[in-house]
Amino acid sequence: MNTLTQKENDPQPGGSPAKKPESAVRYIQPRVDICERADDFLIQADVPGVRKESVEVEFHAGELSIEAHREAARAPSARPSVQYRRVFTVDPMIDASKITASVDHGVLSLTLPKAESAKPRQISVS
Amino acid sequence: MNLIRFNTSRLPEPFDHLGSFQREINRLFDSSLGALRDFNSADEWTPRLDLSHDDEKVVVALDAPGLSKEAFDISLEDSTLTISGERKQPELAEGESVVRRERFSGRFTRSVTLPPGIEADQVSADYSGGVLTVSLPKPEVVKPRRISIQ
Repeated sequence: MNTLTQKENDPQPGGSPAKKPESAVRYIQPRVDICERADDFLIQADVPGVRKESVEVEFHAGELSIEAHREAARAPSARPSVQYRRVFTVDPMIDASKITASVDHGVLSLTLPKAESAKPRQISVS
Repeated sequence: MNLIRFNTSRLPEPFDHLGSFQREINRLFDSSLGALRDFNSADEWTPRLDLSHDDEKVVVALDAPGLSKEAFDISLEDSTLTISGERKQPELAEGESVVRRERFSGRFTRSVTLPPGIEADQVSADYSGGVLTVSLPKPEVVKPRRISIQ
């Protein structure tokens, strides 16, 4: 079962899929863990240095996109700014209206609840 | 010309060599891949580290999301700064299953050599947003001095 498939065919997670040498932006496809639980899916993405204001999570036409921006560090550090981006195709069993997101210690966590009809149910024998 | 009795047992079997050769190859691969496996062990990871400096200080920034600040161990010894720590793999509860696991977990150690003379008690560290930043003020002798011409 391939419920949450990666949409973009980028080479390596954690790498720089679309490097633009002319700009000082580092493009990173964040590494993710996905865990299926009884009632939902949990996606955790490593986005170090990102504040919650600069995270955008969008769901459109069955696709969930994560975008996060990290500012270039102040002097003396020469850390370039980073654009994190990753897109997933989401199974229709997900109730998209109930997706929630939070950022804690540079980890973006998304909870994707399953629709009521997709949850496992106990059927009692009468 | 001598006549020698044909004796099959004395003929070398063409694939005998190949058998032992194959064993040798297997042995070679078993050992070297074994070593590689150890090297690539899943409980080691190398967080990205940036090192920068200006006239006043050296700044080390380490991308290590998802830890608590207690999980870091920072030491300065003989001008070598060592940062180590551990990110625990989340444990799966009953009824949970892994769909994808790309994030690293386990122990890590990063070391950087710094200019000599940095005072350990002047070093400060901050962990926010998954980035550990260590600031080390440069000693007076290392700082550039403007020398006026008499």
